Amino acid sequence: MSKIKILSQLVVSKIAAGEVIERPASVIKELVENSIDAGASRIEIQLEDSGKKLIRVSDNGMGMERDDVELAFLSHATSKLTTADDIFSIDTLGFRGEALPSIGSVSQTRIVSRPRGAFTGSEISIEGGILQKIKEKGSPEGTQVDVHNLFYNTPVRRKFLKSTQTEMAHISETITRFALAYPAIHFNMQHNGKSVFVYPSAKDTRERIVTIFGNEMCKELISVNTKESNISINGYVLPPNRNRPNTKMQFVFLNGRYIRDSSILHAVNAAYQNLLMSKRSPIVFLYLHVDSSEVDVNVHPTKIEVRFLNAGVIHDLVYSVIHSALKRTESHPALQASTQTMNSSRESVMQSMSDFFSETLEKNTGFQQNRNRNDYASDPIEEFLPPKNSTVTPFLQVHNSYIVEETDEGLNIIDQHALHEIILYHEICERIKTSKLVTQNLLIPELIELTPVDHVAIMRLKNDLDRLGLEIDEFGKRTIAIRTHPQILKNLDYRDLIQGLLEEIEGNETEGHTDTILSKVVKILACKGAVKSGQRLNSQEIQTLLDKKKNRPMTNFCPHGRPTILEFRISELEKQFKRK
Amino acid sequence: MKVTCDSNILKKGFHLVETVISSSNLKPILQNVKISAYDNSLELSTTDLEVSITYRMDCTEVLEPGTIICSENKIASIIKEWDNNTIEIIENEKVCEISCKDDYFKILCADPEEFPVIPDFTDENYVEIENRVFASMIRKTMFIALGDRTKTASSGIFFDISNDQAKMVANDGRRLAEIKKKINNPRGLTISCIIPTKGVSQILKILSDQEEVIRIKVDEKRILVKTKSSTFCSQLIDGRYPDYEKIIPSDMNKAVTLNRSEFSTAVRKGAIMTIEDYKLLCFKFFNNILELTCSTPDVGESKVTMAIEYRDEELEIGFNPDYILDFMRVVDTDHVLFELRDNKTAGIFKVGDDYQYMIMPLKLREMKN
Ligand SMILES: Nc1ncnc2c1ncn2[C@@H]1O[C@H](COP(=O)(O)OP(=O)(O)OP(=O)(O)O)[C@@H](O)[C@H]1O
Ligand SMILES: [Mg+2]
Repeated sequence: MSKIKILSQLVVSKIAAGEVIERPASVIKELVENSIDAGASRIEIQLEDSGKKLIRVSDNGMGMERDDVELAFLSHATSKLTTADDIFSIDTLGFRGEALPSIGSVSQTRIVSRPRGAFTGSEISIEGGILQKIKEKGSPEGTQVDVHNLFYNTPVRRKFLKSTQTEMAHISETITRFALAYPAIHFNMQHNGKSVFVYPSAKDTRERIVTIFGNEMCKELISVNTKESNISINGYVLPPNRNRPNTKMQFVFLNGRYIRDSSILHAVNAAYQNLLMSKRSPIVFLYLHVDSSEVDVNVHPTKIEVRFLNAGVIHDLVYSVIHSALKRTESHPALQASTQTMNSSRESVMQSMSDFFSETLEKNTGFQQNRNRNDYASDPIEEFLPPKNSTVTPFLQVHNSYIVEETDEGLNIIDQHALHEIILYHEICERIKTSKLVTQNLLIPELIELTPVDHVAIMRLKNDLDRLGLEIDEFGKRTIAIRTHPQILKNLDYRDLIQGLLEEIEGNETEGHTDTILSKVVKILACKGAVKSGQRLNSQEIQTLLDKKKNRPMTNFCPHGRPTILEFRISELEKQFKRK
Repeated sequence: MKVTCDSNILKKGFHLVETVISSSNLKPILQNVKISAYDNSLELSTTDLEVSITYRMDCTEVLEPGTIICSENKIASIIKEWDNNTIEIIENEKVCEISCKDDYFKILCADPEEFPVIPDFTDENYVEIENRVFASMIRKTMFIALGDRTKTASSGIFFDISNDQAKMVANDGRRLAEIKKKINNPRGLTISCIIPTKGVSQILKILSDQEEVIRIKVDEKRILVKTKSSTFCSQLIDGRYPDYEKIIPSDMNKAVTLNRSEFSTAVRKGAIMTIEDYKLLCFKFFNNILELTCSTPDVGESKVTMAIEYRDEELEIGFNPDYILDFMRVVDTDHVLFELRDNKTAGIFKVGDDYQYMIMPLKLREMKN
């Protein structure tokens, strides 16, 4: 009995229409959705040339009867909707009956399907929208869809496809979303015959998150859980110190569907407010369950946007569940400072200025008995007094982030991180040029666990990193071992460094231009090796930094192009104070 | 509470306990000292919740036992002003009165209930060690961990006792020191823990230079060290210490015995031309000669030679001279053995058969563009 029906004109007119196939990743999204709707517990993806040549999705779902296979490529043919009212309570990922025909019109596609319990399967092909004859075909239970030569008949769109690396990044993003939404489903993917990842069926979301992102990060997962009338939210968030430069790691699922909802993302960010530096985004995994009659997924053809009946309630619920979860787990002390009001932050400037002046006073008079509790501590890293009569200009560190320095014409305010970063950047570049880079071997290789995709990305940089004194080796399928580090970068946080590198190269198009990759790597090395904002420096460290600035031109901007120094002229100040 | 006490003895006590007072004022109660008077002794205790110290004094006259909690800074400042005098401390209704000769102070006290419990132990599950042995183990390992700013399991000091052997290990990812000592362990206790560097350096402070046997007890979360006059407690670092024994190379094929002071001098001279960001000293061993060379861009060059007894195959290897000098400072014998293999393998200094120090080599990256 055929289940697929052609939707009536009335229903069709109510469905959000539009093109959904943009790139291999969108094909995969549609095909995997169909497999999930078919109740598959195992979905395999095979790619050739990042899907440009072949995308094959096979599942062990319920399969299709011969009659259905014949209808599947027809426009508005679906088994998931019948009446217009159904649109208002959709429980499946698909409902438009549009995906397969759209794919079929821009590729050479073939479906082989065998319903559960049937003796044989059927096969049908479509090429540029033209259906071939249906045939009987032996096949395993379930459905396999092969999409060959995507956009072969629309050369312009084919030309706009990006590099392998970029397309693979989009694809893995797509799969990651499904894998997170359906932890019980086994997913695996192969590219050009090589396995990219295997996500075995997991017992819960947490286990799936561990498989995808590694144990390291998952140790810090904070679970969130709430329910209010018809709405339930659960999932995990990460503490603010685990953050990203973009919102890609904000996974929000509504009834099993990955969505981007600006109101929910707003609520997420609001919950982390003051805990993150600007331009950094938190990492969240949120699973919302809302009665399907209270949400409209028929807004956009890709179904990534939805409309809630009670958007306000959901916003507040998301905010409060994350907010209280973060409060429960103690937050980072260094970050609490930024929640101070303007007034108290002014006070802290005053305080550190007065500390500074009293300190200089004591130093000058040599009066410092009983001053420091740690006088007796055998801590050898204590401050050295600047030599008397030296030409040391007064300086002061404020907010553990900025250095105020007196100059002949007035004063400079220096961003300590940005300045150190540019100095390191130049130093490393010079050392590379002159082949004078000292590398320190590590006693025990530093092991870092990565996602399979990141692992591949980092191993591609092996030679560049080698040249910079950072030797890495493959250590199992998803772990790398760091064996040496450049001596010039002390106290590197390797995990942080690798993460930074991945962010920098992410989705980047400069394949082959090793020089630019190298300079990117140097940038990241400099950034990660530099003193941090918020790091207290002793006067010797500050002095060294200022000395280096003096001896080195071109330090007014950091490698990212932001200023490192703001100059204030005394004449300006006098004008502002209306002294002149 | 009512006691009288010699100001010099009190001074010594405050000097010790104040090292624990935290400078942050997030928890004001921790800025206080707990003074407890028992029948015949007086105790001072401080804590910052991570570590705590208690100091006991006998030579006091306790007229009325009791406990007070008051500002450590204030009371220590008062006591420091008086030399060789008898001080009287009286507590009455949460007010502490201190008098000495013609001076008189009154300090408001906090509620003893609010002060954290200071850990101590009375049971028998401790290990005994001679304090000088323990102090020397600390000194010979701690120097490595001091400069390490990262906070991983390996950034503390690994302390291990099994059978009649005590062991301490420290590493910072680039070098590692291990010291072993024989001890008496009649109860056959085993200990295996990681002590934070800060805690270790404080232990050093409570160890007197008199001959004395101290008691050490470790439970899941903390280590307690008890001497005649003090009890110290520190939280432990959670985690498993890296399996360092695996990485100590065993197949060394070159060895040279070095005179400690001559070698230190040579390395110190060799290091003059290095700078903070470029600490590379090349060691060339050949024909009974050790040649130290250094060439630092924008600074200068040096070559220092030293006669040694070396007949093995020639070897040229780079090390950070600071790492070697750090070690030479804690060595107390006249000679050390230096074992090597090739310029990619760690060098190992050995002193006797119970102390070794391993450092990873440096290399100069030659780049062909
Ligand atoms: N893997 C599969 N297993 C079983 N049936 C499938 C599979 N893929 C497609 N079908 C059938 O083919 C029909 C058409 O699929 P298609 O993706 O074009 O539309 P849809 O999923 O109904 O809606 P949408 O366009 O929103 O995805 C489905 O309704 C389903 O009945
Ligand atoms: Mg579909």
